[in-house]
Amino acid sequence: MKRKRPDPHEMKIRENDQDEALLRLSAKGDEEAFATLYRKHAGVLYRFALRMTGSAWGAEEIVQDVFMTLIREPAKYDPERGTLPAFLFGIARNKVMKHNERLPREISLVERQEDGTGGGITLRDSFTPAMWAEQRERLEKVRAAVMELPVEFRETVVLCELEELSYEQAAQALDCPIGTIRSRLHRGRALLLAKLEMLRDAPRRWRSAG
Amino acid sequence: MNAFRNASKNGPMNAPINAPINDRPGMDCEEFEAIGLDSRRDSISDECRHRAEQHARVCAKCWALRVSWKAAQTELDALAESNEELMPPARVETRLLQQFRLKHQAQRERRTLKFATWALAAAAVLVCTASVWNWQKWRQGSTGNVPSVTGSSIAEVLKPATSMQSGIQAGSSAEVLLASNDTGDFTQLPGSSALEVEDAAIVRVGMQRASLAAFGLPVNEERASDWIQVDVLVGSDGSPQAVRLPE
Repeated sequence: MKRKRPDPHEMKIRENDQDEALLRLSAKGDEEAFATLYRKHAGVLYRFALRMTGSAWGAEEIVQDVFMTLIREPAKYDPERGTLPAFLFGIARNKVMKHNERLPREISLVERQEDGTGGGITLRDSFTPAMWAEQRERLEKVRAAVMELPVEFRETVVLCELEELSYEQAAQALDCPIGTIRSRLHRGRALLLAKLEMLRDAPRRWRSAG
Repeated sequence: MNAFRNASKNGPMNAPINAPINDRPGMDCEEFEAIGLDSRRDSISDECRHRAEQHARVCAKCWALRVSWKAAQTELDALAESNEELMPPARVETRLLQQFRLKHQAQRERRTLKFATWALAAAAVLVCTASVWNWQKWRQGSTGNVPSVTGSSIAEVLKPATSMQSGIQAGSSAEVLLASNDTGDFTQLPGSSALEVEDAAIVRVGMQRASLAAFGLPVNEERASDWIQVDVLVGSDGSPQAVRLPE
């Protein structure tokens, strides 16, 4: 269940250098470099946007807008001010805010792949349909609990707990001090704990099947 | 929950980020709430993780908090795992690549156009420079060598000696009269006609001023022995038609 840990510091520096090199090439018209950048960062941005807006088409639009900015104005990114992912998250965050202002929040969040396969639950051989349904229901509730968090706590929880960004990366992405990230995460966790409390006593047969 | 609320009001969240809470020997509930729940993070040292563990063993409230959070983390991990491979639809990439191509194609065209414009401008400047240089060179050459002139232009520059004669009648000296013609105009010699100067040539000669008398021109006797340069307009029959004193 435990996922891989964030990259060590050196690896992060190397990745930043790689991002900058790709962006330079992309700005000169190297399509492959742009495609590499897109494939590297689009997923995490899409998931962030999806969890912040609750809308698949909204998230799609936001990701497209973020990368259009990168196409039109690559010089807007200043390596002195932070990493490229942080810059992209910053743009995505502004787009999310505009999107949420424009449209009512959609609580019901069904995250589907393009091919129509459902919410991403990996089916195991030992799963029974009942287990699958139960897990799906629990995931929907967790999603709803995350979606119900106030925006500033939600974005911190999404970045730090779901996308496992470091506090430093989250601070760069949200353009605030690390202390603010810690504080928001602390409160977000408390709210989330209260919302998930009701799940705690529910049966978890699927977990024993893993 | 209450522990979270208290910690958020008074806890180490309000302390500076780099406050050395990781280095203290013990750990209280506030510190546990602040960093104990981060035990999975790489930024938390092993020693700090160990102290949080020790604190949770002796504090029932923090133990319960840790258990609750671990359960919540499991739920969050399941949610994160369920979406780990989630990517935007392929059409987004297609649209973006189209836009990318459009932008850079337009940029390439603009660059080519710009280059062509500059190349044309540079060529124009070069041609102009070469023309000016050639013209100046030709001009320098033409002032060094006395060119031959056609009859029509000579006819234009010739001035009849009658004006000179009238100057003499007015009491002015010949030197003054000739000098007054130094603007480049020829003074027609008595007995010559502008009509007879077709295919004439200008010949520069050195002579004593007294020789001007041979052309029928008045000479200042005081300076009669001076050597002067004189342009003589020689007609097609070899006879002098007009003279001028060059500068």
